[in-house]
Amino acid sequence: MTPAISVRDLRKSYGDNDAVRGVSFEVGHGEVLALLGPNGAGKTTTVEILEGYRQRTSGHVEVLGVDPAKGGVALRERIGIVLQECGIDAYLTVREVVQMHSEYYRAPRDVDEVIALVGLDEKVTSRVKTLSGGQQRRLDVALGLIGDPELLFLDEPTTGFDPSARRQSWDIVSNLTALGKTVLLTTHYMDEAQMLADRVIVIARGAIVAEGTPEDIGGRDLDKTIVSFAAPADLLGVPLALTVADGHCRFETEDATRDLHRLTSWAVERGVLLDGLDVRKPSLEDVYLRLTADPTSEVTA
Amino acid sequence: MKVLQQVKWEQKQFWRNPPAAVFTFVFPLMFLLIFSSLYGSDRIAQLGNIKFVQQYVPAIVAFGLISACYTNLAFTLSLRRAQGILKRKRGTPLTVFTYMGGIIGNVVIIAALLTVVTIVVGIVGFGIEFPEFGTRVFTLAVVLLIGAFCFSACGIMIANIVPNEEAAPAIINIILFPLLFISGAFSYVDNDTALAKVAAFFPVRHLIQACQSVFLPSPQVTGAGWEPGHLMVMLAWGVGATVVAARTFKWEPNTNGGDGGRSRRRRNRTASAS
Repeated sequence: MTPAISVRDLRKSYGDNDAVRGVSFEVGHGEVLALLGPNGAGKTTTVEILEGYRQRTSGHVEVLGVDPAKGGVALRERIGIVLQECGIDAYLTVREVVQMHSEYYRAPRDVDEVIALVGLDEKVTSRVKTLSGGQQRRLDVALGLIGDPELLFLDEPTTGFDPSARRQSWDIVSNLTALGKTVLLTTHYMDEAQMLADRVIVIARGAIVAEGTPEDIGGRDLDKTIVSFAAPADLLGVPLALTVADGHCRFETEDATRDLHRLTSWAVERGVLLDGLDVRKPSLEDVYLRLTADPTSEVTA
Repeated sequence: MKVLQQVKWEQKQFWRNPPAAVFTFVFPLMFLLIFSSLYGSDRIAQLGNIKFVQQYVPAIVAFGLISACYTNLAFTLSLRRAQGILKRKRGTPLTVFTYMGGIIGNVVIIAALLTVVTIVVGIVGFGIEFPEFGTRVFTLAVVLLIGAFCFSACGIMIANIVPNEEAAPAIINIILFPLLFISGAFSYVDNDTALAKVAAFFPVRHLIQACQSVFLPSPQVTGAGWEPGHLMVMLAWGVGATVVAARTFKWEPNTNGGDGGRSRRRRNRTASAS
């Protein structure tokens, strides 16, 4: 079986600016793949090429076995797109907008069922313009689902949400994967990728810098322990190589027991307080920050 | 069938946005009332001494059609483009023909309603006559259909050059209003004047005169009131504008490129719990 999405050596340039520089990946049917990366990394450009909005400069792209640049109406019948920033016809009610969009598809899902799925049942008769941002975002998802797509694109579905609205959106996406839908998610939230994705690809400066499951990406499972504490006034004679940034000292170690002992012995000897001492394994966020960091902007002490 | 469904949704949206509906509907009627009251008793010597209103009501019929097709359509499209609504539609199987068909069907309905209201106000309120009604009502329908085609195409074309929501009213009106004035939409402008000669290059005056010819009694105009010359100019503008509009059409909002942009920041600010 061919994968739902297949991308090989995708490139996209805007004049001199290479937004995407040779990206290759596949998404299997029923898989949830998260594209992770900072703003301007090339996530949205990549996804918009897959959605058929943009023409690629070069490379091979297939979505559900079709070139999205030529897929036309037939391909759009089979995919659902939840865009980053897109208005909805403001003067219609929730039910009317979903009903209207259902008329665009040959075999849509049930209107009320989709509204219930995104938790807007109590808002069916409200005009779109009276909805909160979180509610509009859920309506976005409803419009992406109404055509009963095989493949759903979710471009930063929870950017700007408060924590409870994010949880609700995650539940919706989890429901989708239970239905066997393929989802391509872009996000710059680590916890979101961790919650939802089977596989994560990290993009930075137009290229893939890491790929793996949320658990093992970037060799995270083998990674070191991170020790950090508030920077004391005097670091003279500290027996470890520390990184100092934003008033915090930190170091990474493969032998936490030994290095903590060295650090605390030094501190006790010199009467230094280690405020906010923290010892932990790197989170996905740490891995992400390391992978996407601009190599020229590191400060070491 | 799908086009009719779209027309239905467009109608719903139009009537639920009272400021826009009022602007489209009340504006031409307001001009009719103001200028007819000001010049109501005047007579136009160049047109066989007919009453001012007799040639003014058809001018307002023309203005109403332009208001419904050009102004309303240009606003609707440029706003929907800026808000990303067009981009969203582009991601669905809805075809451009169905979508545009719905939008144009909607403005044609509005134009037809506005025409009827204007003529009824003219007849009942200002005592104008509709000469040769039996044959000329058909002439008027054809004139208005060609006008709707021409000015809808112009509306789509102009919407394409509107860079953002804030610029829409200025650009759309600054193109239209000078043309309305020199074309005789608000006062009688004789064919021999320099203004009329400039205006003759654009479609506005041709629509006004084609409408006026329907309402001019004999001996100024006899028979069905056909003015093929005016219709040809409108058709030419309609075809030209359609070609330009199709070539310059964009589904997506203007952005500074890359992801992000102004509209996104605006929405993020309002996003909150539900």
